[in-house]
Amino acid sequence: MSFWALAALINSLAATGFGLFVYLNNKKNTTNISWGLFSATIAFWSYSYFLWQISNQESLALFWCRTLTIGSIFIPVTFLHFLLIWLDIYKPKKKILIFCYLISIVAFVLNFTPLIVEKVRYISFFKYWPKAGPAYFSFLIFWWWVIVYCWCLMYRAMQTSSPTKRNQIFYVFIAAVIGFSGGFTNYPLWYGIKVLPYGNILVSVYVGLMAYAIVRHRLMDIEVLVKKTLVFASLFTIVFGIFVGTALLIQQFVGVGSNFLGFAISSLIIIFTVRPLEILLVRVTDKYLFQKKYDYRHLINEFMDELKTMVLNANDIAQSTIDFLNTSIRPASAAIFMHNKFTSQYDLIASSDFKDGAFNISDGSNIIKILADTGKILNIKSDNRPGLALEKIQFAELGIEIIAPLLVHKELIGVLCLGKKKSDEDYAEDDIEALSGLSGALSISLNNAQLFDERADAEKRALVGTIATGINHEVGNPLNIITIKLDTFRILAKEGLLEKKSKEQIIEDVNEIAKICLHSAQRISEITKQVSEFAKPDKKLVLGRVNISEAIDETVTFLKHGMILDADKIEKQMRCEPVYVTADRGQLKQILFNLIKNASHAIDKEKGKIIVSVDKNGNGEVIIKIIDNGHGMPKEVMEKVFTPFFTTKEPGKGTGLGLALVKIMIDRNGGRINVESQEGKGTAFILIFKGGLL
Amino acid sequence: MSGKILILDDEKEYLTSVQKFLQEFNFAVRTALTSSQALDAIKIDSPDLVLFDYKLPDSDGDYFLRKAKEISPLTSYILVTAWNDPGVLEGFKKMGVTDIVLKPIDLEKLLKSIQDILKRIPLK
Repeated sequence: MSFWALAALINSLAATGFGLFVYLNNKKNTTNISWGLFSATIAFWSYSYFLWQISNQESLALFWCRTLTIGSIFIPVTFLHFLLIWLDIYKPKKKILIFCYLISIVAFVLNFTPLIVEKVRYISFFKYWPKAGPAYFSFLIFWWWVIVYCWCLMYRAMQTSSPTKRNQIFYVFIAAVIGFSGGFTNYPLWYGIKVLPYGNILVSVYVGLMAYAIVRHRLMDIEVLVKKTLVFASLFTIVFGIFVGTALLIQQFVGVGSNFLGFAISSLIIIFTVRPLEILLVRVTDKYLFQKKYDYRHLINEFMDELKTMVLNANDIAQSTIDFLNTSIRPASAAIFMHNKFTSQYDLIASSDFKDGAFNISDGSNIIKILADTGKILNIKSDNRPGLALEKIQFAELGIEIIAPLLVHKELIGVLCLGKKKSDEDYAEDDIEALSGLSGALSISLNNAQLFDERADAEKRALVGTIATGINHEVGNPLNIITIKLDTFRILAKEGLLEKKSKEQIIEDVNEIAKICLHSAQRISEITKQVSEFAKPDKKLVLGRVNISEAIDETVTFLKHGMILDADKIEKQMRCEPVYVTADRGQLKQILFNLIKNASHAIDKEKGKIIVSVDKNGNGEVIIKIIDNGHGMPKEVMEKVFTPFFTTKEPGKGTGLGLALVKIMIDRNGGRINVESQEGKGTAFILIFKGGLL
Repeated sequence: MSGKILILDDEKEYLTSVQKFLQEFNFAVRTALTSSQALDAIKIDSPDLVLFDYKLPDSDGDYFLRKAKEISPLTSYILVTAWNDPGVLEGFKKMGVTDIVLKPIDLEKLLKSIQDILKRIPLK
């Protein structure tokens, strides 16, 4: 077989395979269909070319030569057809396309006459090369005109397209230039000009380039199948190699006639290696071509569930989202900004690998306006909106490629920014779709967290308010005593009464005054300390060993000061040796405070009693029970007792956050909480913390 | 000068401090933490002077004053309170308190007021 026949065969196989692949990838998409049609004309042309090359009779050669010309007549027009659909300019250029099809049909009809292919003759290496008929030249001009027109269309489209599309067009453009130029090397010989059609094989190169464009730039949105095809092709090659190689080796060592043995052994090897091989190939293609692919919908659903159960804290939610994105979409950098009502700026609340330096977006920014108006994700790289150029540069410098708005009730509460993907792939439609689902869920969670923080803050302020009266009383009394004691001494001196006393008596008096004043001062300082403990804004947790007995005493004292509870209503029961729990001291006291206060609301004024008991279990845990003999609660209330904003108290009396806050604080301290209750008998809250003997 | 004084307040340390102070001036001072204790003491002892707070654990100042006056109409009463409300203070004056001393207490003023009152009445 000659080089020319082989090249034609390769061209036809490549065009058929690739055309089928694209068409089967999405049979309903007109882009894929038109690509299939274009590939079919090339395949038709090269297959006829192959048959022409191997013909050994003049009449047969002439027949195949005319047949291949049918292919070459329709190649440019089907390419134009594909371009118009793919570049989304089909409608405005429809008339041109119809015109081109008409001309092609005319050429097709003329092809049955000697006007196009006059005859075949011997020239250079070729026994039966066609001689151009009188109409052939006009056909060639038309051929070139369509192709140049196609190049122009692509060039123009590149000027106005998004970078992703621009990349794709670029590859198709290069592929078309190479392919058509290669194909054109066939024509000089028609006129007896001795240029050999060496460029013919270049027609295959366009297939390779197009395949590359698909893998790298998702040409025609083809993606997953490529991986499968690559894995399958490699697997097929390797398995075939093993089969042939083993069979050959066996033949060489055992001798001819052992075909069956070779077949059996290679089959065995294949059976045992094919599965691990496939896994390996999938991993390798994933790693080098695609990064890990992910089932978006599934992952995002999972993450949304996680968001729902997540601790209600905006920063934690944001950071978890970033972590999630880093393992799924894998952007080079990511950041979440929240709108700050007071400054009208956007504050960074979570990020990874993000250059925060001079980043400054505010409500006045055009990008923010567009995000708020459209509510859609903005792809900095592919967006062409006028008026964004400057800001786009700013974003691009920070490596941001995608900005997703975080909207709640059409109000922009923040933005999610992502850098380019680590895999260097462009963000495709399904990425954007997935991200908009994610940012929707994220917005709601962040908004809830913010509301929760605000309410929790109000709850805390109310708490401080109720104890303010108590503080006044508690600080006022010891101060009074100090004043009385000191004033007594002063007045006695002034009235000359001291002089009448003995030295010992005076010393005793002074000693007593000092003792009482000191004690009173200590009382005041203790109260101020406790108040500041409760009024402090949330700081970072400091987990340490907390003497639980002390913590209970301090909390009870505080409740007494706040006039929330009478001392005789509460009893502490230590049911084990002195123990500590591992927790943040301030938060542990706040937990106890809320639970005991809650119990005090449930109990009867006369017969009510609260028991706080401490015990340990065998697992190195300390169990604290807050038991009251109050009204208890029905099962349906018990189930919702830790749900934020759930309250059985009348409006204005409870925010429904007390127990929710308790639950959150316990979670943060690595503890657990259970509730048991019986209507009319009482309720027990059971806290379990890590701890041990003091 | 001497006299029998009863002090009624729910703060124990305050009570003993004021008691000690007045004892230095030779008054016979007894204390009570609740109004019922105080009423009992008045029944038994009928003091010359009673110092009482408005805020009491088992009742309030005006109830106590009414009851005490029933038992011992000749005793003088001084209201010692932190509640600086003109309306309330006026009400107590009408109810017949001899003087009002505001908390935080000015011992000199208190002493002077006690001495003035006890000077005016014949000691029992």
